Amino acid sequence: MKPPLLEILNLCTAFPIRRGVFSRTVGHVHAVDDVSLTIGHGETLGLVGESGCGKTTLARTVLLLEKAHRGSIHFDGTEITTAPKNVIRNLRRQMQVVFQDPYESLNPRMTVMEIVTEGLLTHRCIERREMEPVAARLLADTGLGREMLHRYPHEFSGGQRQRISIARAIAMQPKLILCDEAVSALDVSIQSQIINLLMDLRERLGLSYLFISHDLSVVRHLADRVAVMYLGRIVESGPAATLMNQPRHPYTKALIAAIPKAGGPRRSQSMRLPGDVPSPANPPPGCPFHPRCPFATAPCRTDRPLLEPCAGRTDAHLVACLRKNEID
Amino acid sequence: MQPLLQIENLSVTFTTDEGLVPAVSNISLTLQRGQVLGLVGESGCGKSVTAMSILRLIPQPPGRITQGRILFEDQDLLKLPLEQLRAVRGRRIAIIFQEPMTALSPLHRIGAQLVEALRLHRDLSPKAAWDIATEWLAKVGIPDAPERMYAWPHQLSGGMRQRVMIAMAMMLEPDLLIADEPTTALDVTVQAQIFDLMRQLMQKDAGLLLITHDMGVIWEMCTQVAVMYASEVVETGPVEAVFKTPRHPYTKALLAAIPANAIPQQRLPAIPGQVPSHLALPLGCHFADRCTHVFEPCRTQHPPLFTAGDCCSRCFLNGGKA
Repeated sequence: MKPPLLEILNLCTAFPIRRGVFSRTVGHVHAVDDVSLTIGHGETLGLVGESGCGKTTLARTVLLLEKAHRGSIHFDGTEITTAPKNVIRNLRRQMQVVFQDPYESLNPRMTVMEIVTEGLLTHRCIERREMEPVAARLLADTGLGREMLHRYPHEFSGGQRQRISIARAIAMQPKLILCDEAVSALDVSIQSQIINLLMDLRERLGLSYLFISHDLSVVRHLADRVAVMYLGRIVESGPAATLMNQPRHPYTKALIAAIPKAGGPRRSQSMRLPGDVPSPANPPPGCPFHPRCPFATAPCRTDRPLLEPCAGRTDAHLVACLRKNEID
Repeated sequence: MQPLLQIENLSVTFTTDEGLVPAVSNISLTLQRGQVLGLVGESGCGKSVTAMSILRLIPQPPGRITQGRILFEDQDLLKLPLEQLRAVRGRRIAIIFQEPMTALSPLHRIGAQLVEALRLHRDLSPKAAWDIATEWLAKVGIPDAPERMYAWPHQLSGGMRQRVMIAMAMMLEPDLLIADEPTTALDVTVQAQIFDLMRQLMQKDAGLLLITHDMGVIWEMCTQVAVMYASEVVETGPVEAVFKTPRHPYTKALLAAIPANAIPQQRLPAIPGQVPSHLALPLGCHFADRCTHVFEPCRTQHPPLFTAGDCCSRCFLNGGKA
C-alpha cells in the first residue's frame, strides 16, 4: 500500500512564556500537544475546533513555519522536521497554503501576474518571458479573466482575491494545499463559489487538502475525514459522515449541537456547553475537556484519555474519551 | 397594536469621491414587542447602515438620511432633539456593534465602564451598580467575573470583549436591542450561550433587531425576517414562511447555497457573478444580472414590493397586487 501523503506522528509545538526583565522562560504554551494525523493522496482532511485550539499552529508546523518540539512529519515518505534545507526547498513546492484573510495575504505592490508567478520564478520553473501566458492560464483555472493580469489586489473583491490566492497556490503544482479558514471571511454566495472551485481543482489536479475551519457545515461538505481539536489535542477523528451524524466525544456532540442550522429543528437549551475554553498555558490535568464536560467523572480529572477506536465503530473512527463506550 | 419600531421609507446616501452612493433605498420595517426581526444580507447590502440610522449614528456628512421616518413607539427618532435622543440611547434602545476591539475604552477598566453605563441611566449606588455589573459579566459567560471587573480591555480576548459589550447593552434591559453581527467573532458554543440570554430579554417583552449574514442564526433566533440585497429589502415575512417557500429568487439562491443544506461533496448551487456596485445599480431589478429567472420587465422596470399574505417580495414573478 502506498504510504499516506502526509503523516504526522506525536507532534508537539510549544511557545515559551517569558516573564521579567531577563525574559526568563517560565513555562510553555502547548499549542499542539501530541497530535497524530494522516492525509492520503487525493484525500481532504477537515480540521475543526474553536479559536485558540491550535489548528493554525498545527498547519504552520506542517509548513515548517513553526518549529516542532517533538514528533515527526512525513511528507510523501520524507521526514521533513529534520530534513536538510535543499530537500525542504523542493518539498515546499508541493505544499501550498491559502490563508483566511484575502486582504492581508496578497502583496499590495505586486500585480496579479507577479503574485501568481512569484513562486515559479523563485524556483526557476519558468522564465520571465513565460510569465504572462502561465499567469493567464492559472487565472483561467480559477475563474478569473485575462484582463485582470495587470491589476493590483486592491481592485478586487474578497472572493476574487481568494481566487488569486488559490491560483498562486496551484501554480506550484502542489500535492497538498493547506486551507486555513479559506472561505470563512466570504459571504454565502461567494463562499459557495469558492467551495465549488476547491472541489473542481481537487478532482482535476488530484489535490489533497488540509481544510481548517471553525465552520463544521463547510467542513462536512468538503472533507472525506474530519478531526476535531480541543486545547491542542485531537479529541475525535473519523470519516466525515459518521463523525458528523453520530459523534462520540461529548465535545464534538456539543459543537455539532451548537451550529444553527437553517430549516432544521431548533436546538434545546439542554445542549449548552457551560464555561469557556481554558487557557492553553495552564491546561487542566487529565482530560482537557473535563471542566466543561457533562459526563466527567473522577478518573477524567486525573487520567489523560488516548485517541483510540471505540466499540461498535470502525478502526477509522477514533475518540479520546475515557467514557467513550459508556456514553452514547 | 402599536409597533415598537416602525421604519418607513428610509433612504440613506453617502457622498464619496466617486459620487453619491445609495446605501439604503426606501426601506420599511416593522418590529413588535416580543418579536425578533432578522435583517439578513451580504456585506455591503445596507443592513448595518439601517441599524445605525435608528439611533442616528450615521456620520453626517458623508452620510445623509434623505427620506423616511423611524418611529419608536410614537416618537420619530429622526426628528427628536439630541438631548432627548440621548435619553433613549442606551436606556431604551441599546446597540451591540460588530467590532469588539474598538468599542471599549482602552483607558478604563471593564468594571468602571460597566458601572458608568449603569449609573448614567439608572439611579444606583456605586456598590449596587458594581454588583449588577458583576452579575451580568457572569451571565454572559465570563469566568471569574468578580476578578474580571478589574481587567483592562487589552487583557481580554476578542470573544470576551464582545461579551462585555453584550453585557453592557443588555444589563439596562432596553425595550429595543439592536445587535449587529453580535456573535460573528465568537465560537459557536459561546454564540449559543449569548442567544439564550437574548431570548430571556425577549421574554420580558422587549424587541430585538438582529443583523446577520448567517441564515442559520436567522432560523434559530428570529420570528420575522427581512432579506436585503444591494440597498433594498427584497423579501420580508415570518421566518417559517420565508424559509419554507422563499418567493424572491435571491432568497431561494441564498438558502440553496448554504453548505449545511446541501448534499456533501456535491457542487453547491452557487449564485453566479457579484453584487452590483452601488454606484451603478441596474435600472430594473438589482438582482437581474445574477438571476436565473430573469424575464422581460426585470431589466427595464424596477419591481415594487408585492404583498401576498404576511409576505412581501420585490420580484415580478410574484406580480399582481403591488
